[in-house]
Amino acid sequence: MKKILRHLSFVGIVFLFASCENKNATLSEGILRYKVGESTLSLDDSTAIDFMRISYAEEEGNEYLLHQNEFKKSIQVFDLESGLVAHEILYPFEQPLGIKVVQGITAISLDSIFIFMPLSIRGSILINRKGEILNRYMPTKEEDLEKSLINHVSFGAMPTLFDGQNLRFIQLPTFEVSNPSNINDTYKFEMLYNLESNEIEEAEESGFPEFYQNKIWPSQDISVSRIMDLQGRIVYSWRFLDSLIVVENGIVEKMLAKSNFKKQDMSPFQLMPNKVQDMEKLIQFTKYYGIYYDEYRDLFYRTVQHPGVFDGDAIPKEMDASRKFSVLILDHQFNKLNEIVFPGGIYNIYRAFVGKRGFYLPKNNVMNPELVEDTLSIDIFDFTAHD
Amino acid sequence: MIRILVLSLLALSACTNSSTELRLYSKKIGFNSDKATLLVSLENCSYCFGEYQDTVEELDKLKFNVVIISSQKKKASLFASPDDNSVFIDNEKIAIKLGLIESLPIIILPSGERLEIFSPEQLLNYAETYVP
Repeated sequence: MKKILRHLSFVGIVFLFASCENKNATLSEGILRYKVGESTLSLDDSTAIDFMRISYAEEEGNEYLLHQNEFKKSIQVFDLESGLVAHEILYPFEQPLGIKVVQGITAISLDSIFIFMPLSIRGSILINRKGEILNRYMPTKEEDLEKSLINHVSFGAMPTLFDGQNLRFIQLPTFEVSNPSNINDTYKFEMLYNLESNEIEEAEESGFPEFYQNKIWPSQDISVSRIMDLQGRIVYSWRFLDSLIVVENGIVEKMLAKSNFKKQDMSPFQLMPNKVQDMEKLIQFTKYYGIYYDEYRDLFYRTVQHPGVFDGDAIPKEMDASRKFSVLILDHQFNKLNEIVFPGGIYNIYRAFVGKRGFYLPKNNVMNPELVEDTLSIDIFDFTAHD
Repeated sequence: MIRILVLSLLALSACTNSSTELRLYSKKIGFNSDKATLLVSLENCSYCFGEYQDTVEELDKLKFNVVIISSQKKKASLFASPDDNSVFIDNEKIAIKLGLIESLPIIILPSGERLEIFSPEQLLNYAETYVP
């Protein structure tokens, strides 16, 4: 159990990373030409700026960002146009039916919001805009407690998706990832919970790619981002793999989507690394972070973290936040259309999302010198603006 | 026998280092290091806010210092109200820089002994056992 909690906290370390640097950074022309708008959210005294658990929704042409407020135990529905809270949904949090600690949320609409608890699919709920429970999900309980635990992420670039039949969760291993024999094809990163049959199964194609197997990698980069497009294709983006893994009707294909800024492949460790070596590699190498699908333009966006500067005395989160990143723009056949580089220290790459107006990048980077805790600015980019 | 002596000396020196760091940290933050101190980092523990907020409220602040490590003052204050008496905010994340905490909450006893916390129940249990 301790091991699981360590891994759970590790999820926190990885996904609480924000971005930073470049105190007087101004956006270059190359970026500004794609900037089509800005949304400024007003945060009250009871709303923190980290906006970790969010979900985008549209209703009657209006855009909303749903934010789980862990202090108020509510889902705040921010109107992205006005920046104000249009609705505030109090969700049930008293045990045994409510959810005390929320792992993530997924909004299908303002009247269908899934709320997930940590380490389990069992107990997830579906609520409407009044906060009423529409359904509570209780897949069969495993007798072995450890087997029943599912260390799913459900936020950032590893959201839980609804494919019309299943809730698709990305989970992270709770076993020792620095043991190369554990890095094999047995473990699957994606779990499917069928809402009708109440059964949970693994997504066969979501195991470690061959490139990873039987090797030692920086532990915090053992994860995969995944998205689904309008055709129902599932796309997996691994941190160190230039190709995307695309699954369509059970057929698996690799599609090359390499960043122009990746000069060398991530090399595995030869021996089990200590914490400093692990962190050094985590910061210094180019790697992919998230894969996003823009259903409005039928495009994919792949975010790429450029090498950062490692300093053994610095705080890892801040070093990570300082690195530049780029967004690789791919068409529906995964042809590379463009790659736009963003400065470090302004945007929070871990909170990016897609909406009607394009690619939304919140500026709640911990190192952003302009950060104030009562306002969250989000820059909006349309990478087709000059087509 | 020599081995035991060496181990005891090593343990003692580790304890001394921890208590020195604790004293240094207490001076910077302004808390009394003669009391047990609970460190909770909201920086790199994604679930700590929801998981520990109620339990921290229950702790007897006459016996405990609580230090919340967060670059966000507002979030830290929502977790527990700072009073410069028993609840403090480490806005500069000094505890992380000093290596006093990684991600999970930690109780540091005045001796420098560190107890890592894995659940709210364990926090209450440690509070009862070590800080009666």
